[in-house]
Amino acid sequence: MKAILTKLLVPLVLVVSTVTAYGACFRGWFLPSPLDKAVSIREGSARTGTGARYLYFLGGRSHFGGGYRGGK
Amino acid sequence: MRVCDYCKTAMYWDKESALRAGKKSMDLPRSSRFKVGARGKIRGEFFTVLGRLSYAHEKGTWNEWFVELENGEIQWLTEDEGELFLESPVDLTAPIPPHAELRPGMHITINDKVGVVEEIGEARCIGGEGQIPFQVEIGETYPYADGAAPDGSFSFGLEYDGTSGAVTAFVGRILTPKTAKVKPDDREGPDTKTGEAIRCAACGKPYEGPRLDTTEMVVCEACGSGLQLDEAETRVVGRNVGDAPYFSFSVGLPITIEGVGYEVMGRLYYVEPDEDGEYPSMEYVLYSPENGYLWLSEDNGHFTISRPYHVRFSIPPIPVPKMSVTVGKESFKIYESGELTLRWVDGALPWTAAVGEKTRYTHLIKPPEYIDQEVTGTELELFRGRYVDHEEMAKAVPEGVRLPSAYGVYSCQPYVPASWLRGMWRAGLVFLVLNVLLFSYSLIADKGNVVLREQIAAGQYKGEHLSTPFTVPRDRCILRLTGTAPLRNSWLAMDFAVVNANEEVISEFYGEASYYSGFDSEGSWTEGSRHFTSYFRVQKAGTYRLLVHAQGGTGVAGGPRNETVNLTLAANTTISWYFLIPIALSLLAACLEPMRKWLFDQRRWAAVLGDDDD
Repeated sequence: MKAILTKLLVPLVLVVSTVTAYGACFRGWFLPSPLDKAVSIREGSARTGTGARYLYFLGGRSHFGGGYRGGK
Repeated sequence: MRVCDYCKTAMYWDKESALRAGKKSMDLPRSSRFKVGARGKIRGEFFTVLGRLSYAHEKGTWNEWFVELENGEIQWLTEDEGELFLESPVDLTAPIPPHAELRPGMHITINDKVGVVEEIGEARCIGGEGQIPFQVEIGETYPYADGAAPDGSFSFGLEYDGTSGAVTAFVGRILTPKTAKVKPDDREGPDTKTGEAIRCAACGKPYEGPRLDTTEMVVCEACGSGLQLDEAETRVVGRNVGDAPYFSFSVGLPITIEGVGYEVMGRLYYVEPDEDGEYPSMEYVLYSPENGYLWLSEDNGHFTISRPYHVRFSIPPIPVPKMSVTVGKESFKIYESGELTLRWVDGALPWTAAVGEKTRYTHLIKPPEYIDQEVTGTELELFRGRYVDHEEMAKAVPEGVRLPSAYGVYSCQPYVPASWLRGMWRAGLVFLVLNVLLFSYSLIADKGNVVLREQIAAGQYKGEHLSTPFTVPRDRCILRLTGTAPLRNSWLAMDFAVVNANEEVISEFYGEASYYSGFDSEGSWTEGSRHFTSYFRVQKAGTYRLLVHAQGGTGVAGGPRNETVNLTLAANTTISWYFLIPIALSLLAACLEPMRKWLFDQRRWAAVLGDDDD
């Protein structure tokens, strides 16, 4: 029983890891997903009324500063 | 010479007298294999047994059967400790070393042949029967030596004249028990186990244990005295002292090995001094009427079987473990050498084994096989055998006989892959090859077409900077952004947004780099990198731009150093390193069994290479 399980499990792990590596390498499976809805880079600018400057990140979307605002 | 069938008196015909009566022959042991007048076959050739002489030596007795082959040729069939040798006299054309100069293992030249001396001693004729082709006085003694060719291709015997030192040489073949047989009707039938009554010469009690025609020694069950049976009367040759050691098998136990039924005739208990005191090992002498003797050894719960062997080999003066030794066309490795002391013996043996006697041995292995070279007194013997696993041993003994647990890895124990590991290396190898090929392909497929190069100053990325447009050449394209900044004990964290032609962000990603360096008591050190790499994916081909915003700093909470960042964006890339995971997994699967085997071998050799943890 143990032998059968192992003989099934090991090839399964190898198949899954190979397929996953293929998808990750050639299809970019683990790369950031696109936003569900495109967001204007001027959205933040309009909201804060600062005119021509973009405030996409500075308006609160920064990953490193103001926290993630969402939008996906 | 002829021995009277009735009164056992030897009668001689010589030049001086027509007939002369000599000494009376002893009652010779019956042989279940041959008898005078019997007809049989040796390797397909018919022969007739004309007579027999029996000799006693230090370790026991042997029979020399005087046989006439179908073509009229006369030969001697020697039966010694269950082994058979078919020999005929040869005229010596070159001198043979004197008996006193012979040593076990010594190479000597017999005419054009080189032989190795195995046994040296003094033989005494204890009797005979039937017709003998020359005169021999019952009771006369002569020095002798036996041996075989280095490759076991022939055997030889040397008989030295006690007074003149003249040598008579016999050369012949080593036979297996199955190659020389008489017709079943011509056999005397196997001895009864008890045979004639034997009384212990030490305590007077009768011996009622097993005994065969080839038995040279029995051990008194009452007082433990070893009784040598080669003489008319039994002789004490040693005595067991103390409590009997624990043997896994009892005398008389039937054991079936390789489809042949054997019986335990005798048991021996050896000890060898080691750093923990004494290392014990046990030996069982098994007997089958058809196949003769078989040696079953027990060591730390492991079992091996062996038989006498005659292919010689050269052992270096200082045997070192793992050293290769050529045996015929095979290669064995030296495992260990040492000295065994016989501590206990019981049952019946085809040779005389005295408690206290020492045997020097060298143990060679080629798992599952092994060869032991043993030197006891003036006798050199070789045994070749194989490992017997517990499964085979359990089938060999009757139901209910409990086998001891095996500890550690035995010297000649073969590596047996676990059932769950069998074939795994094949799967591992297949996936290893597949993933290496895919990895290689991914490297080739990584075109890395640069679509954007831009230098962004701190003043730009502190706010939000929109890069110059770049073209994504195809749908579902993976792009690689690499950034470099002259960081010095500082960090840079960057946000990126992919902006389409409508100035809409369709996806986001980030990158960061930090680089620190300094000096401490061990010298200079660096940490981190001045580079970063980020991957992102664009679903549709087209023109895009990157919106960049970054923050920087120094130390834990220091202000930014305002480094300029160089960005390079490449399209049509792959992320090859992902294949390193299945490569590592398949390598592990492929190597698991070899690694287990390697560990097994490490444990095998640890006992003699000084790393034994068992």
